[in-house]
Amino acid sequence: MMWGNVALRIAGLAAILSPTLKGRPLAEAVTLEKLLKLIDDKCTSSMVQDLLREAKKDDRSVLVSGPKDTVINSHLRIALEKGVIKREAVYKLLCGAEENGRQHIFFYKAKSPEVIAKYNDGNEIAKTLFGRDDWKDHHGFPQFHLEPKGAEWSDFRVEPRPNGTEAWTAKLYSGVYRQRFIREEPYGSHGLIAHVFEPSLSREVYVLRWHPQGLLEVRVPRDSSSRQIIEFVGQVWEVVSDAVDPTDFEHLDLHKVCMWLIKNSENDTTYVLGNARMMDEETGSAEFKPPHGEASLDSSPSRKNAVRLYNECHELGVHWLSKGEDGPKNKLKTIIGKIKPHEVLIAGKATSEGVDYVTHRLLQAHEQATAAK
Amino acid sequence: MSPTDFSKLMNKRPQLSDALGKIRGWLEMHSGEPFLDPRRLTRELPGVSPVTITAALTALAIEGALRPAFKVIGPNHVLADGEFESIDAVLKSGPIRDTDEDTFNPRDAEVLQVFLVPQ
Repeated sequence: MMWGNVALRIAGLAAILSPTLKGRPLAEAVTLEKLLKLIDDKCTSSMVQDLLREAKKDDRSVLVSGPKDTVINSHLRIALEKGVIKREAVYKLLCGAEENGRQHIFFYKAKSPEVIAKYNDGNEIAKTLFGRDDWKDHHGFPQFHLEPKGAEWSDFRVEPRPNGTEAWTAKLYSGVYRQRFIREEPYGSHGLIAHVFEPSLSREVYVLRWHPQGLLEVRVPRDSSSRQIIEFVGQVWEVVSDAVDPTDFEHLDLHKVCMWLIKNSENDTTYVLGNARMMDEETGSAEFKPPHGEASLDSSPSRKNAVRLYNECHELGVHWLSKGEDGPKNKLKTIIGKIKPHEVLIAGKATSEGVDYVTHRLLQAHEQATAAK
Repeated sequence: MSPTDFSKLMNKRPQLSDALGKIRGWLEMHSGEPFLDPRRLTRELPGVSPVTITAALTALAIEGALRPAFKVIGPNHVLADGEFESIDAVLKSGPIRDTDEDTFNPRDAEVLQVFLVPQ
């Protein structure tokens, strides 16, 4: 049974979004404690150490190494207090971390070259989305919301590419009350056990990202409920519906990509396969799992052979190996098709380079799998 | 874990020499394995009794060549990522994820003693 505080209804993003809402400027007093707590939650130790390492070039007294708690609550705090690192740099680090990783990414491809041309004009998309020409000044983007109440636009970035096309990213924060499990405790005198929940203000980040070759990503936070994740995606589409027409796009089916990655894994040292769910011709399925998360799908010869008896894969764990500056800094675990055929789960914290690398590899694999067929 | 660790222990515990030699061979074949799972060794080292394997692993842990820890088997029937220092730590843990990235409570899971290999 459930009891505790009155449950607060989770409002849909679209219902609570006000396009005129302005977030607080960076300079506004955001407590250092909250900022450091968020950094601890969203960033890996190595992300913070990179920032400290950069600052050390100007001030040798900056310390870099140590356990994560020391790196954030001592080294970073001191560097911020001394002014060696500006708060804006920390916000930038946080923004990058919260847009990348621990999220589901849903992929959509443009249906025609006309659609690609339409969405390659980022400024026009933004004007339609925000309903005004001075959208950037009006909203004061980028906005940082430490404790968003309801849904608030955070950013719309247009990134011109050398060939005259444009990539763009729209970012939205949402702060809604969710019931968080606290503890179990005896209830009444009949041996009943109560689960106690308390309302907790979440801080979620939703991202819509356009790639000029005709790929649209919808990034939503992780949740234990698949239904909730699907609702998140629907809400993002609703929020941007003035500017982004869902009928312009179709799902980028990644099932073929899964099979292509399995078949090519022996010739590619940039990734390792994890769990796989294979589908047979009668729509029966078989699941293959290595003995633990660090082992490869191909670690056992019998498992390796058995997986390849199938022609279709509907869910595949892919661990992208460290690639330095041009990709994941550390091994990045992903699951393709966990919820939908056009979706990827980025399991851990990641950098923008890491997630972009995965997107690029999936798109490339999709092209090759389609061409091979 | 160096060959010296094994050699020293094989001299010190001759009755475990055969099992230790086979564990050393297994580790050489599986370099990069982060831990030793007694269930797996029992299957993959035929001719060595589970009791002897456990004794050999325990001896290596006592010598400091391996670090004992606990892992839990997730609802998807394989070992979840991460390890626990003690059974008590398992019981006190909040929800974790299995290798399918689904959440579960370790308290409800089967617990397994493993031996971490220093990397």
